[in-house]
Amino acid sequence: AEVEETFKRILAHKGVVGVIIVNFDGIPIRSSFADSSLTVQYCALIQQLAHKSRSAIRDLDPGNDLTFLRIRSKKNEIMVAPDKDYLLVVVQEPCDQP
Amino acid sequence: NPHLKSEQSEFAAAGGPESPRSSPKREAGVGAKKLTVSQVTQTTVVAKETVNYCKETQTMNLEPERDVLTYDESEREGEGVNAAEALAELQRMPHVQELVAAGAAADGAAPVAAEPEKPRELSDEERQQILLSESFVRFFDKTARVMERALAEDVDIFIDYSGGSGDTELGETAKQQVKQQRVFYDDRWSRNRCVTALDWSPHFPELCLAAYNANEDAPQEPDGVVCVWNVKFRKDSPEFVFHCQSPVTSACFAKFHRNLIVGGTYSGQVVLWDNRTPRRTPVQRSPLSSTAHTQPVLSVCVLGSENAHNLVSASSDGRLCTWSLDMLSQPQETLDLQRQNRPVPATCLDFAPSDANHFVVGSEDYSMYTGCRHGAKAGIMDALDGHQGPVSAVATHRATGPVDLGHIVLSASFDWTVRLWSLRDLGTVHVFEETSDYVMDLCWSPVNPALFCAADALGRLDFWQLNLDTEQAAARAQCDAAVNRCRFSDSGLLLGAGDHLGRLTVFELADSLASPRQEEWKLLGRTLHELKQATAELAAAEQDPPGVGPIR
Repeated sequence: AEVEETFKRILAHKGVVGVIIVNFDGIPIRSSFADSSLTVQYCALIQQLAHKSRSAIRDLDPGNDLTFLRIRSKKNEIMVAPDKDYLLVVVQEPCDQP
Repeated sequence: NPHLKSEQSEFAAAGGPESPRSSPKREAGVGAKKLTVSQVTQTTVVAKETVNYCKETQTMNLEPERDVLTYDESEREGEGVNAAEALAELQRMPHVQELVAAGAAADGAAPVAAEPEKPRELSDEERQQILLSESFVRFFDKTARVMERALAEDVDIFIDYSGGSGDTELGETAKQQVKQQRVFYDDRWSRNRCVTALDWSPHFPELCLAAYNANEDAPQEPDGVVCVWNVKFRKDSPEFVFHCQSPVTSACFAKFHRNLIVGGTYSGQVVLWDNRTPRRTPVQRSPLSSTAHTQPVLSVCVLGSENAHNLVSASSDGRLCTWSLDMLSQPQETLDLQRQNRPVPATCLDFAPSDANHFVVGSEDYSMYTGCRHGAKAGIMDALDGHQGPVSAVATHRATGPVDLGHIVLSASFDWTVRLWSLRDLGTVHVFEETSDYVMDLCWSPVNPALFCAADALGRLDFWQLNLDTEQAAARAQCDAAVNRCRFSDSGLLLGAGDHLGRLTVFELADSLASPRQEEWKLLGRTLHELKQATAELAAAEQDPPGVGPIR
């Protein structure tokens, strides 16, 4: 219930296009995208990227670990918060505001 | 993620033998030997499956097959669940199809492509299970907080012309003495609730807590709510939300424990919240017995030093209890404040800044009392009369500096005045009569010895600078609703004001107002002296002493 509430609050944030919670297998547990193929696509691609970034960070310094990943593109921004077992992915569109 | 890593490495390892395996198959000769090698790898995969059995409950059946698939597609019809693998397969689809056509060995592209769909449809109940599992809740709690901060912050950095400055509002405060920085309001937790307590965290200067009363419109929601807000980030939701069954009437951060929040409730219970645990209800509660409090707890504070500290709580029947933070099952000491053998109907309590022994308490019977907790005459020592209405707030001088001003006390009352007292001669030093409604709360600035703020029921916040002008407020700010509580942050630059509609407004003070000048202390001493003389003359002229005790 609290999870739902927080999920909806994140979704209701300005500019947010979608939120996905992925588990370590790459299965989306909860997704706000109506299109499931898009969800699957995001899951697969983002998980690979998160895994690769995590490996890169750990290879550079074994004591280090990835805490947050932000991909800024021309049209939107993908924010990934990785954890040991899960992944929270939020896609946000920048809204120009003073 | 150890699973992915090991799988992928094994896949890479299996990818080696795989290609030479397929070509020898075509050559039809060496294949058999390679098959035995692959069987060896299969057994290692099986061992790995048992590990997965321990962890998963429902997806057990799928996973081993997936693992088998990645290494040896010839053995079974693979159901590839691993998204990374699936994608890799998808990308290599034409090649895999060739392999399928060539021999029955490597299959898996088409079934793999189909398979990623199946587990996702299957796991609807699993999804619910996962969503309710504790590890997920913990992950989501932390991550959602971070994500919300990240969401609220962005947009600014890529605008070329603004130069990437985050806070553009600071430049404007120079023009105005007091500027409203932001309003904290949560639709679910602070709607229709009056702010009853405010405190700033001594450990993290950007955190402040607000305690709320009950929401009459929503009886099924918990009556007492405490929200911890973060001033540093732009996100609008509280960092932490705690609740309890009885309306919270006072709250404070535990000074020597960075994770604990103490609250006093309407029912007389003293409760303790811990922000390390994910639960929102108190971790410790004091009992509802006659040895503790039975009336609303109007003040809680942690006194003492790091190694020897106590929690002191006061309730409106004049009872002062001392607790140890480890054990709230019974108070260590109880002190009943009485005057002329009748309990003091206390409304507010404040301790002298460096003294855990002496305190000042304001009461509903229009007077203020000084008292001490220990000693031969523990209890009420002296009375300060003068107000013509119940005293709503008392504040002992907070700023520390070259001159000891611990004897200066301010009191606010429902008689529309704020009085400045000196405890040395137990008399009024000055009466501030600017306000035009009940004065609800006041607070000294912790850095500027001459600055204090008074909040009244019209929502007006008056900032008085004693060295500049004692007849008029130096700055004024307005809130939309009646302000119930106001508190300076520890830096002295921010002021939080909570009103009766559940809104917490944070005001930013201009540096010229908030920071003390070099000679502030000396000037204050002189100002106080002048005020005292003026009051004395006034008293002599009216022949009606405003305060009890010798003034001269």
